[in-house]
Amino acid sequence: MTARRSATAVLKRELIPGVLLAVALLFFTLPIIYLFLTALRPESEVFYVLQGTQWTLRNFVEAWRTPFMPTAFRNSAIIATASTLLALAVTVPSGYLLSRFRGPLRNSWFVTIYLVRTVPYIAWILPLFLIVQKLRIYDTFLAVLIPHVAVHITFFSWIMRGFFDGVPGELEEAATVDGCGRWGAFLRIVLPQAVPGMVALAILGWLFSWSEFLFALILTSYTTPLVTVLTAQFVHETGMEWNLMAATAAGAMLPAILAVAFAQRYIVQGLRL
Amino acid sequence: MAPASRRAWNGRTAFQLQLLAPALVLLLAFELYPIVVGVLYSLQRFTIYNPSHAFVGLRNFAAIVTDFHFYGVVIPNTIGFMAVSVGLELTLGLGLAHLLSRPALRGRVGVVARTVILLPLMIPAVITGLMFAWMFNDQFGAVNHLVQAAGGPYISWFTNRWRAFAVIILAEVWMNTPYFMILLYAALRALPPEPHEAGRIDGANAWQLFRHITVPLLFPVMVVTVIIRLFDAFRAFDIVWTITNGAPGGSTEVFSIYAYRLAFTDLQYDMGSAAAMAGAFVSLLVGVLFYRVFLRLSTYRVGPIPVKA
Repeated sequence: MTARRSATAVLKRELIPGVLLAVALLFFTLPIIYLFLTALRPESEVFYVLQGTQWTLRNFVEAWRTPFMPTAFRNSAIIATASTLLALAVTVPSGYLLSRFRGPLRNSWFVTIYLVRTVPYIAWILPLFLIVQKLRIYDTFLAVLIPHVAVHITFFSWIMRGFFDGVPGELEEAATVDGCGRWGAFLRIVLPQAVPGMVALAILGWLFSWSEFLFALILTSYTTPLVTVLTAQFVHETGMEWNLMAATAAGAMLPAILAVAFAQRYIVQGLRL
Repeated sequence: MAPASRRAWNGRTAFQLQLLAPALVLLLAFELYPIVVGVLYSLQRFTIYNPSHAFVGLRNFAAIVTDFHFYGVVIPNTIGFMAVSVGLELTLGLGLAHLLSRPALRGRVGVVARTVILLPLMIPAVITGLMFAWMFNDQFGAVNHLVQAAGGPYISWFTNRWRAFAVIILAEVWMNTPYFMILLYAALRALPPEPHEAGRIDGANAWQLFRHITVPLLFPVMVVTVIIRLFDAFRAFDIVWTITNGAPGGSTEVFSIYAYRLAFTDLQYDMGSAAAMAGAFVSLLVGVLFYRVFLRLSTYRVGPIPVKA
């Protein structure tokens, strides 16, 4: 009786969570696995991903040879890197402001980034499209850099504040007493302490820009092609080339996979509330 | 810091201005200026065929809010999408976080599980959309393949509004449940052990502990996460664009897709701007209403997340 009860208890305590976890892992991985399987099927068999017998790497070669593809990968990397670095440079001080000061200036900045974050992207990308047309910078790096930097500024300032909150204030007080000056105390004493947080933010910001689609769709065309738009075009414009879409998508996923595998600790830090 | 020294430290407005200026100038030029321009365009006549920029007052807004497609399809779709997807993400994320915080999963298996589950959040949303569109492709997708192999019927996923919407929501839930999972997991790990111990001594079972101790303690984090995600869900674009782009017949259009279509497919920049500004206005208003709640609850620090077991 007791043996049976404890057996059911163990079953309930360990087996059910185990099964639930397995189901969850399957749910979150199967779509990605299916995409990779599709990428490895020859075009003639792409409609029989689950049944076919042939495997090939040709899709990757062919996708890479698609017009604009190498340029798009390079452009997306450039935009992601440039917007992240630029936004970091200006949000490090503004995050420091949020963390270290009280008063009207600090509070109005806090309210501003909070409210700006609530505005849907389309509400300013749409007029931005008309503005960049007028400025004759449509489909250039500059045009697509603008919204990326803006989004990063609100997001980075927010999170950066948390990183500076973690650095004790006595440090820069002591440094100021030692004649460091406010900027000196901030840049030489506090900033180095916040570097791990900045790495986290940089990784997240970079992945955001790499993955971004709406800005790219509206502000760029074939002079400055970007990865996300090109990936979608295999299905939406040039027909139903699922095998090439899958191969490109697999490549475009690579930064995320690498980041999750090797920099998970940083990513999770950057996701803090 | 002692209050006196803090006051002295705060004294220098010049330094604060220097800290703020670069970020503020860029934000003004890159985001706030376009918003102002958008407001102006929404009050003008401005289509590709009639770029006269004549002032028309609120006529564009009147046309939007009296458009049946807007108030009868787009708005219900958007609200339904927000409510259902965020509701499911919160529920599943909380369940997963609870599951992963079991002592048995503090080791290697737990680390691997959390790593794998983080992936959907990090890959481009466009790819998630394309992936689900491909899986649910009626003729060649994996889902229909498996359904038919199991003796089920042929299902045409994207010719019916509700089925198409179900696929969109599934993709959205797949992509964003990890967000809730990771933040709630961190909050769970940061909880003090005493309330649960006291509950256990009082003879509460696992469900009672979860319902009456864990959930109330996690409530602040849940509210903040839900608010952030609701604003994200309101402007959802990539997933819907890649899976249905509003089809069939515009019946799965959500707010951002609607404004995009007016401006870039119908080439009515004025109407598109008006739709976008109406949405911005509503979400700003909601943002203002939420501000106090958000401010009070977001001071709750989640703290660094213990990833390595």
